[in-house]
Amino acid sequence: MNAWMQADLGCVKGYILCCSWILHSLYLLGEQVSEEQASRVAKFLKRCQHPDGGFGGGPGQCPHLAPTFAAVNALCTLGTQEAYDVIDRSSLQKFLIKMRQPDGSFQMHEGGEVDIRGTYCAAVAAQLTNVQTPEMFDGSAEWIAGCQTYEGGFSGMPGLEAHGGYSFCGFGALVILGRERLCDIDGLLRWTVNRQMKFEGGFQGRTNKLVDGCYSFWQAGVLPCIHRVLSMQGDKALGADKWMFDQGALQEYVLICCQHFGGGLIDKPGKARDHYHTCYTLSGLSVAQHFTSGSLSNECVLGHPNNELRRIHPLYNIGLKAALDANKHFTSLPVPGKDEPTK
Amino acid sequence: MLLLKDLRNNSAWNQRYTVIINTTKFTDEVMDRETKFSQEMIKKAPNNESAWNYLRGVLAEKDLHSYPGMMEFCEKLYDNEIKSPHLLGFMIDVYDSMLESGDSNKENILKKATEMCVSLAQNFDVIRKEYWLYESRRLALKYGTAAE
Repeated sequence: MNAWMQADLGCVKGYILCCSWILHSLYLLGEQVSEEQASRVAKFLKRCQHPDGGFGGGPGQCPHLAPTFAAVNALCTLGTQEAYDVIDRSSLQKFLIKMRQPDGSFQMHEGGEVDIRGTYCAAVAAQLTNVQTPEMFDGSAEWIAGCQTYEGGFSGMPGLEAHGGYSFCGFGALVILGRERLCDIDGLLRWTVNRQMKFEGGFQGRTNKLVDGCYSFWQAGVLPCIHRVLSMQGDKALGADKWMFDQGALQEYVLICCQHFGGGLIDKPGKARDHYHTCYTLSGLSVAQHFTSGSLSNECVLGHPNNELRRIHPLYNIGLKAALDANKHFTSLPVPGKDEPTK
Repeated sequence: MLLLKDLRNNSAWNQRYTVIINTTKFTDEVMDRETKFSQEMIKKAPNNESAWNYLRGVLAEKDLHSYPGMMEFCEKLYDNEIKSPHLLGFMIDVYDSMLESGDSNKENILKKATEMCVSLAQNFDVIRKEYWLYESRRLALKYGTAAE
């Protein structure tokens, strides 16, 4: 499960995924990508774009929703005009519509599996690039809601076990679609907070399973989203300076247990480092360090002040500024297939 | 069957739920049977979250407080020095159910519920302190005298 982004991509080697993980990790660490590097990456991503729309894992590979999501994120992280211009919005829109199933779910690639990641990847790609149509996600919110289990988290498909990665995708997609009220938010909140391990401080993916650094984001990252939703619903019981998980304990787990001696981060002590875990442990660390709600904000940085990472937009897991800039750019462009530019 | 050998296997609990939902559904008879099963499993391992989550799932369509013997089951464990956060959290849900139904002993039940949230936050489930404090405030806002 902890290699879910890679494991079932078939022939896809996942270059794009590594690209987005590395770029995002560099952003979190406050590293600058040079103009020249940014241009080279944008050109590479362009070669991964399929003529029929969407992105494959590497040049010449068939388009797939996971690398499509990763490519859009990576290009928004680069944030240059060249990067934005890589995306063929019209064919992307066609690809997303093609992946859509009659029941509102999304298959990951043509003839591929359907699971909740598909809806999230499609929703993020569509919203960030402003190619969404009303029909694209018709029924999707209801399908996602059908993936919430009796435990409160979401599973990959209806009937399966509640799981961190899928849970983040499910709730994230509902929020993007504006349909979060369709699910039991209290149940999701209870399940999510119970995934933090009282001994390790990190999060597990499922009830009674082991801790894993990547869930620092998939689980803890849901809590800012829930906080925002409840806040907008007028919940007066919400805290004003902390998320509803132990931010200090999560930071301890990441800093003490998840750092590889050679650099990079890991699942748990004894495991090998990889870019996926590096990206998601750092993303979770960023969430744990920064509380923001409306005009309220509070930093809680464990250890040396240099440990402070940059902030993320918890719904997309790209930089805050990257998300805002992308939104500003793409909403100034008309939705493909419509006559009027969107306001 | 797997659950008898490995009662912490959450996938097996989930599978049990899925099978029932897709076959008999949770009729009153099935609900009774599954409640008894869960309670037996809880007695064997009172801190096993899987069993508590399943019990909550089985009774999702019911008012927890009006299910025969539920509070007694909880109180018996509590009186036997079981302070599992899952037990205490479940008792808070039973109190919430009582308050939701408009129980006349409202102030006393609210006090028990909020005190239990605070004891979880301070002693029994400290890692989830912020969540339990939120729950305490939520209950007080919903059912407290200020809400009238």
